[in-house]
Amino acid sequence: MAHFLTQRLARALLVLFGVSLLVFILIDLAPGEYFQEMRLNPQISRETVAALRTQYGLDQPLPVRYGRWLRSVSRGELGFSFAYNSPVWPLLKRRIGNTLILTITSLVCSWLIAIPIGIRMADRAGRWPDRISGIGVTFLQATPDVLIALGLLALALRVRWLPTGGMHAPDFSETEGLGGVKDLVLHLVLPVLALTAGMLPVLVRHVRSAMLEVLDAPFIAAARGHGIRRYRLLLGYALPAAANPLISMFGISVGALLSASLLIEVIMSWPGVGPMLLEAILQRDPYIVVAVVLFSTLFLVAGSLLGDVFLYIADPRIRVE
Amino acid sequence: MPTDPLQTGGPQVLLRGVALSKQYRRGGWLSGRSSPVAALHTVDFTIRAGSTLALIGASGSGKSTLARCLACLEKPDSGEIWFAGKDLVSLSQRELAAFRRQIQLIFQEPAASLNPRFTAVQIVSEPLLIAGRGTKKERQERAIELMALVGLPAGLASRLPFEFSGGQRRRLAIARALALEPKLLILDEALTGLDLSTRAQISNLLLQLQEVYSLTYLCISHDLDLVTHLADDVVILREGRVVEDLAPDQSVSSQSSQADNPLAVALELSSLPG
Amino acid sequence: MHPLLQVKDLAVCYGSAARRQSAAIDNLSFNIADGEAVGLLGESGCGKTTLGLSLLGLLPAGARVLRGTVIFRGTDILGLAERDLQKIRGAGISMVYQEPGMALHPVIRVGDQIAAVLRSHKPLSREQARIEARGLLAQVGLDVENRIDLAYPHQLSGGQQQRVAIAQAIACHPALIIADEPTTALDTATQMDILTLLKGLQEKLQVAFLLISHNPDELKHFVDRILVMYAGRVIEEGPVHEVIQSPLHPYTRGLLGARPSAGLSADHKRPLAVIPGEPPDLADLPAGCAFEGRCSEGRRICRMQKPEEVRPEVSRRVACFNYAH
Repeated sequence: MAHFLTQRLARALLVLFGVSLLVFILIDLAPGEYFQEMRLNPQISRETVAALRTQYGLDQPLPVRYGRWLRSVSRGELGFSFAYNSPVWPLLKRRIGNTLILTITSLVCSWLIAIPIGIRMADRAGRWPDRISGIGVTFLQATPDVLIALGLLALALRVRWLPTGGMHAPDFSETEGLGGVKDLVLHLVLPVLALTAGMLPVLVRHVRSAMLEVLDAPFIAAARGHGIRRYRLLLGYALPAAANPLISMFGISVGALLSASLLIEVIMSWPGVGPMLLEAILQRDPYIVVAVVLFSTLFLVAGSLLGDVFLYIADPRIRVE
Repeated sequence: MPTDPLQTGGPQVLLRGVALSKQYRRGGWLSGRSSPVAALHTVDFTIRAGSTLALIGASGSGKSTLARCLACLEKPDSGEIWFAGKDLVSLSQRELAAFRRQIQLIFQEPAASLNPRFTAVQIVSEPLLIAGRGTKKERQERAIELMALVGLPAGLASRLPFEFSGGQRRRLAIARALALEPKLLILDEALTGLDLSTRAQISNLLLQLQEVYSLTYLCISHDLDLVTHLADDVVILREGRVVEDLAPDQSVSSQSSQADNPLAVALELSSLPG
Repeated sequence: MHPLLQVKDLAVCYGSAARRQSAAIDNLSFNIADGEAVGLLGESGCGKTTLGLSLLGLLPAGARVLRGTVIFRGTDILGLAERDLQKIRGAGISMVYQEPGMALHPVIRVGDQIAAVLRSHKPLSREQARIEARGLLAQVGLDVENRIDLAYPHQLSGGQQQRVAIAQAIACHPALIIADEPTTALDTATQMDILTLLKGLQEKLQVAFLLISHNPDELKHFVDRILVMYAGRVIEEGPVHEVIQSPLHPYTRGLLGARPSAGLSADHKRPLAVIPGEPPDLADLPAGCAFEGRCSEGRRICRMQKPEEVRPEVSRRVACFNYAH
């Protein structure tokens, strides 16, 4: 297991390195840069802009900039934001935490809902519980995520039960406690609902088809023949056997949820990395973009690594003796 | 060009294996260590032209590895395979192509080796197409002939593999194997898993084809009764080594009970109760 | 006294009347007494596996019972609800399947798979069930000392897997064990071991035994009575040695003649006697005897109507016009 993990970690590092280089090159290729707007401003002289560019190292060729950035990573700064005039890491730290709260909550919620629904549908395949859920799933899948989010917001505005934006109530003081947790949970409801609704159809379909395939297997028929009870057959026999494709799906769902959450954060003004990324892209603040992309990659890699570990635990055939 | 130093008896030897060895590695690079598993260990044998050599052994004895080596699907690690005056092991892939046609392999479950989307005629004529022989029409006619040869009426020509019974699929596989007029047919458990009456039909078909076309068979099986019925010579493999090399009359005729039958002993058969 | 199992006029078909309906089992009747070993001889597609599954109330998707009763210890299995069937499966009638590698759950330890069967029929704690499972594994000749109960199926050989499957089948003391071609997926060497084990357990535990096979040689040492099936019907029945020595039905005769004789004999490399042709399409059975097209003794009447069963001797029956008077 240790060997397996180190190997996966080494691969993950390599991926991170590659992605950072790629993002650097892509940003460089994209037209425009942070100081472009200043050039259009008649009150700022050409010399000042040039001096600023020199100061921030934008006049250097790409390899030099990349080398400098690497050094700043090693210092734990992850580059420098021109817009905030500050190292990136302190800016991002808090927002990453917020994004993780949202994404992980949605991940857990969507899987916890998808598994029982999918199992139920597979068990009743072709009969009315399956058909009705199938229609619901198709409907959800056909609705764009943005529409779901906006619909939820509109609904919340009308019924006034839930806060419709942000992460905390305006009068929320930084004090910890039960009140603070309750406030956070209330603010989480809408974005988590939106994310879960977007993710659910894919997961439900996946669970259903994985279960259906397994329920057809001879060992399930054999277990029935031994008088194993129905619920045990579904949960104790079919589900573990269907675990492999579901675990692979888990890794994928982590990435999908993260990218969906960047959008939902913007719509629901959740103070995560989503709004910051958008802002940074619009302002051409390159190092924030690089840092956010790297964070997403790290999260994705962690998701698939977690999937591999689950797989290793769940399937004895994968463990190499 | 080296020639077969052992080829002494003239044309009657079709194929000769000399000191064939093959190892597989168990465990991947992921596990960090891998251990070699000997599948074949200095295996020697001779197949006479027009005869049937039975290769028997329990599963894991190296039978199928040997078959794959002979069919040029794998290269042995060491040793020589002499066929028609050439050592197949030393030949390049290009040079092998011509010999591959003369050695055909038939698997246990032909369903897995028949393209499910091809009709019977397409399946049987495919080797001709690959070898670039004849026009489309000629190939089709030849395929119908071959099907007739193995007892499949022309009416079945446009059927798909799943529409055939288990026995008919074996016939189809045999017809395809015969398309390029091979000298040697390797039957890898080709009669296993068939019902008794079907097995008898196919075994009769094989005997008949052998007589008419003086085909040579290498028959791999763990079915003792059938092997003794079909084979002229028997090679017994155990853990990758040749245990015995017998003519079947040596091996079976005199012994009445299975307990002192060397074949049965080699297969670790327990004696029958009662 | 009633027999343990009484199958009467059973008919099972695949498909619906509107679509292509094929008769997997037609008009089938037989009994099994307590502790009796019965063999079911038939070739693939004759309906023997469908029969085995119907006895457990486990018909595959698309199959329907048209008529008949399967009475086990006085109750008709075919009329039972899933809940009651579940109590009979494993505890009243249990089954050993053709491919042990596929009949065992791939990612559950074999000991736990046996424990699961135990716990679905008996009020045992997890630990008690595991201990009992180890006992069962020892009973089927597996090396419990080396904790084989902790192994996963893929770590075992085919023979060992089949032993595990047998341990599952005997776990809850059923009165009848059905073994559906339990050796076809195994090596010749292992086949005999498994059959000997099954027979030994059957005698020791005093259970009735239905051994389904396509090989008369396999049946002859392990059962008392034999049923021969062809195209969904029992065409011959009798004590195993009598049927093998003097088969009545032309099909049985043909099947027995198609075996190469053991050892080297005069017919070495000679053609075997064969039954010509292929078994009939079950969706398109002839009006008369289903074997008529392949039969060397066919007469006009064989084409016109199905033969009734006759009993030339008390212990034997056959469905063939040769014996009708």
